[in-house]
Amino acid sequence: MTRAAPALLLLFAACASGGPPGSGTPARDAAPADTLPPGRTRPYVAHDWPHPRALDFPATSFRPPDAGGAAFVAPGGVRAFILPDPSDPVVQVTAVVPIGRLGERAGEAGAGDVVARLLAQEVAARLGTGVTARVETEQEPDLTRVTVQVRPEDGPHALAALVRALRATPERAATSDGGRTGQGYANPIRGLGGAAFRPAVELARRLATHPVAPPEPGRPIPAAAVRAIAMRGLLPGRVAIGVAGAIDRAAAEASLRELTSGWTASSPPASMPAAPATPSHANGERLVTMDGPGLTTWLALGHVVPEIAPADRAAMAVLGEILNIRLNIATRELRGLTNRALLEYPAPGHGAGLLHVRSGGRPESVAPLLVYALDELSRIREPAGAPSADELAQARGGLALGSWQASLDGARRAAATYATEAVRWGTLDRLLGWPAAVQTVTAADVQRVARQVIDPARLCAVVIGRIDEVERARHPRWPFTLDDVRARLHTAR
Amino acid sequence: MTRPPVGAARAGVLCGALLAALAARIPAQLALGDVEEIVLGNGFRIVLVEDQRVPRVAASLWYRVGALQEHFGEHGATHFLEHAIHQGTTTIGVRDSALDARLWRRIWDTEQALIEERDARRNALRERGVFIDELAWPSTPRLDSLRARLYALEDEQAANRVFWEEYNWYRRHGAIFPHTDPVPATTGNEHMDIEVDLPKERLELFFRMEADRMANAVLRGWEAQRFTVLEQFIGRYNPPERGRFDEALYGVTGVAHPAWLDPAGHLRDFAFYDRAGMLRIYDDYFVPPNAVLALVGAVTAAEARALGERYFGRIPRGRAAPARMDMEADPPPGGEVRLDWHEPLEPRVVVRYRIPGVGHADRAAVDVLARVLGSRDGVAAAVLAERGAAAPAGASVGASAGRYGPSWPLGSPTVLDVQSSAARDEDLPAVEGVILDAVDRIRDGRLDPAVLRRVQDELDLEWRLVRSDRRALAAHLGRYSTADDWRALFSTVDERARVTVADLQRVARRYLVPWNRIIGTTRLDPRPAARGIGGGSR
Repeated sequence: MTRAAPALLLLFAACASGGPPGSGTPARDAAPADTLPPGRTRPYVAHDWPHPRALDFPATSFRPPDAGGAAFVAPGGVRAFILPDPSDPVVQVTAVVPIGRLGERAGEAGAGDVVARLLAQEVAARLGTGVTARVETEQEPDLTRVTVQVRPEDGPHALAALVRALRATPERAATSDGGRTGQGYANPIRGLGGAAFRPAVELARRLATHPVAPPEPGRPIPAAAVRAIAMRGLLPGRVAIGVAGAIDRAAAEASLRELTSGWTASSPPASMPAAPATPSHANGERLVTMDGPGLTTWLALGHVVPEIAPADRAAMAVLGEILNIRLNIATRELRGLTNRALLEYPAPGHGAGLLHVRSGGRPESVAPLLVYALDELSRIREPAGAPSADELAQARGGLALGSWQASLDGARRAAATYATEAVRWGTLDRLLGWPAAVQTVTAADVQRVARQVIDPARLCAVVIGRIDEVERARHPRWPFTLDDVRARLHTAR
Repeated sequence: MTRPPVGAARAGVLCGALLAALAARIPAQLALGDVEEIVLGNGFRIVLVEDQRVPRVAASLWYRVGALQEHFGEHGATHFLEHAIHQGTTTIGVRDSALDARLWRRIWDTEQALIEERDARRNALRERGVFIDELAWPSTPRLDSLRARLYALEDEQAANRVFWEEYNWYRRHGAIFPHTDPVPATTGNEHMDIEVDLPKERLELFFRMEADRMANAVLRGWEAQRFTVLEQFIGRYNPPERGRFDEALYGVTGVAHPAWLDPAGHLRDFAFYDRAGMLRIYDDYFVPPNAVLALVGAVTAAEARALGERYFGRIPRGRAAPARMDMEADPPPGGEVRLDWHEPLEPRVVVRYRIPGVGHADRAAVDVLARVLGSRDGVAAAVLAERGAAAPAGASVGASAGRYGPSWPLGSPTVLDVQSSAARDEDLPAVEGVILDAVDRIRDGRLDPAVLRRVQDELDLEWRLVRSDRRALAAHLGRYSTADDWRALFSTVDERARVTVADLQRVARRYLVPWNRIIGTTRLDPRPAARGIGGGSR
C-alpha cells in the first residue's frame, strides 16, 4: 500500500509548478508543457495531504434512537415504536406484517402478494384524496411493509387509515376472488438487484420448489388461500407499527389504544387442502440457456443454501461484502466483461434460498464472466483466498458503520427498522448487537462459513439472452465458450 | 383542506381532542437564511446546511460539466470520464507511482500510434454506410496488434494497482452511497456529481479523496472501463427497440442543441473515445471555480471552511472553464413533428412540448402544469372519466416536466411529456385525443382549482421529504447550483406554491402549442397497412 511518502511527493512535485508541499501556498498552473504528464494540459498538484491510512479518526458518536423508550404495546398486543422528532416536517407511519412467500403453505402460492396488494388498496381508500400522502408497499419473503408519509396535520389520519386497513384486510380477503399470480416473475429482465431478475427466478425454479422459488405466473390463487394467510398474519400480536416524525408520543399512544381496541385474533382459518408444491424444473443440467431480448445477455450462477445459522450471520455478511468486491474487480475492473456483478444470498429471516452471482454482458463476455465468477466463488474457500486485513476492515466498516447506521439514520428510518425487527425476530437484540458481532468476525470465520455455504460442485447457471450469438461469440482476450463453462461446472470441487 | 372520511364507520372512535393533540406540531421550516455559502480564494464553493440531528454529513460534490460540452463523435465521454476518474490518483490506488508514471507514458504513446494508424487507414475502415452495426468496430491487423499492446500494458498497470482504493476507504469508514455501484457518481447533460454520506468524525476523508480526484486523477484501466461503460449503456436497451425509440424521439425534439442528446452517449462512439479527449474535459472542467460542494448534516461552517481550505483550497484556480455549457437551444421549428415508429412495441403515445429550463421565470408554473395534467386525479384523468364507456381501453395518462423528472432539474430547455399506453393499436388516435383535449382544457382555463390545490399539496409534501432528508437536500442544493443557483431551489418551491389557474393557462398558451409539439407513437403492429394508411414500401 502506498503512503504519502516523501519520495512520492517529490516525484509529482516535479510535475507541479507551485510552492513546496506543506507551504500552504497554492501551486500555480504555469508549468511549461514539456513537464506535463502525457495528455494533460495542467500539472498535478503537489500536496502534503496524508494518505487515508494515516488519517487518525476518533470513534463515531452515532447512537441509535432509544428503542426501549420508543416501545409501546397496546392492550390488544399490537407493538409500536414511537419516535417523535419535533424538527421533522413529516409524519411517517409504517406497518410491518408477517405476510410473504415464506408464510405461504401448500396451495397458497402467491396469496401473500395478493394480501399485500389488498392492504395497499385499503390504506389508499381510507386515506382518500383529501390527505396528501406518499404510500409505499414492499414485500420480502417473510414480511410486508406499508409506509405512509404525510404532513404533520395528517399524521392522525395516516395512523388511523393504516391500523384500520390492517383490521379490515382479512374481511376484504374473505370476499376476494383470489385471482392469479402476477406476471412479474415472467418478465424478460427486471433490474439486476430486484426480486424479479429473471435468470435468478429461473435458477430458483430449477433448483427448488416454492417457497424458495417464486410462484409461476398465471397460477390460480384460491380465495380461501388469500383469506387464510391474511387471517394468520394480520393479528394484533403479530404486527408492529413504527410512528415517527412531528408527532406527540402521548397522543400517538392514545390513538393506538383507541384504534386497536377490540382487535382480537380471529377464529383460526380452515386448513388448506393439501396440494403438491410447485414442482422443480430440475433435470440435472448445470447450465441452462434461454432466448431473451436485449443487447445484454443476463445470467445467474449459484445454488440453494439452507438458512444461515444465527451464529454465522455476521461472518456471512462479511463474506458477502468481500466476495462482492472481488467479483467486481475480477469481472469488471480488470476485464471489462460487465458493468456489474452482484452476489446475492438469503438475508437473515428469509429462510433457505439461493446463493448466487447475478450479472450480464455482451455475448462474447458471457462465458468468461461465468468462468471468473466461478473462480472467485471457489477461491475464497481456499487457503490462498483468505481475506486480507484490509478486506476485513472494509467489510466491517461497511456493515457496522455504513449499512447499520443507514438503517437507523433518524427517527423515521429507525422506527421502521425497529418494527421490522420486532416482527421478524420478536426482539431488537440482533439489530442492536450487530456492530459488535461484525467486529469480532475473523478471516477464519469467513472461510469457515464460505466452505459451509459455497459448494462449487453444486453450482448451476442460467443464461438468458441471444443464445445463438453467445454460442458463436468469442471474447478476443478470454475466448471461453459455454462448453468450457459446462466442463468447469462438472469438474468444480 | 377537506378531510377524508377516514374509516367513516368508526370515525367516532377518535375524539377530536386527541386528533388536535396529535397534530399540534408546527412543521419545521428551512429558509434561505439557513444555508451558508463559503467561497474559497480559488473560487471553490461550499453550500452548507447544518443539521445536528444525526452525527453524519451528506457530502455532494457537483461539477458543471456534462454532455452539453461534448463534441460529435464523443457523446458519452463525460460519463465515461466519471468512471475513469474513479481509478485512483497519483497517491491513491497505486503501489509504485514511478512505475505507474512510466507505464502511463507507454500507454499514451501506444494509443497515439493507434490513432495514427486509424487515420492512415481511414478510407479502408470507414463504412460510409447507413445500416451499420454500431458494435462492429472495423479494424486492421496493425490496429489489432496495437490494441493487444494496449491491453498488455494495462495488465502491467493492473499488477501495480490497488483496485477501488478510494471506494474501500470510504466503506471502511462507514460511507453510505446513493447507489450500490462502486462509482458513487452520476453524469447528466449539465452535471457530474459525487455523493458520499459519512459519520461526521470521518468527513475529512471526503475532502482528502475528492480534492485529490479534482487535481490528480490518473486514468488507469481505461480500456477495461471502455467496455464496462459500454455494458452499462447497452444494458438499458431492453428491449433495444424501446431504447432506439426514446433516442429517436429526442433526436426529433431539437436539431442543434446537445440538451437533446442522451448523456450516456451513443453506441457508435464507444469505438472512438480516446484518452486525449477525456483529459481535455478533465483539465477544462475539473477546476475549483467550476465545482460546488453541498454539505448537509452535523458540520459547522467553520469546520467546513477549515477542511475546504486545507484540501480544495490548495488546488490552483486554473483557467476558466469553456463556455460550451451555456449554449442556448434552437427555437421551435415552426411546425409539429411526428415520429411513427416502425418496430413493434406496446401501443403508446407521447405528446411532447419543449419547455424552459430551471431559472426561467415560467419554469415553476410549467412544473405544476405537468402535475395538473398527469396526476392520478388530474385533468387528463378527468377527461378519461367523462368519456366513460367511450374512453379508449387501457389508457392511463401520465405527465412529467424535465427529461429525468422534476428531481433532476436542468438549466437548459427540456421537455414536458404527456404520455399514455393503450390496450390496442387502434385506440391510439383516441388516446392522443384525450391528451390533446386535456391540454386544450388548461389552455382555455377550464380547470377545477381543487385539482391545482391537490397538486400543490403533493409538491409541498415532496419538498418536506427533501428538506428533512440530509442526502436528498444536499443533492438538491448541488443540482440547483449547477442548473442555476442554489437559491433557485427555494424560489422554485415558493413559486410553485403561488401558481394560479391563470398562470397555468398563460404558460399552456405559450408552450403547449402545436408548433412546439412532438408526437411519438409506437404500435404492436406498425405495418403501414395495419394503420390504414395504404401500402407501399417501408
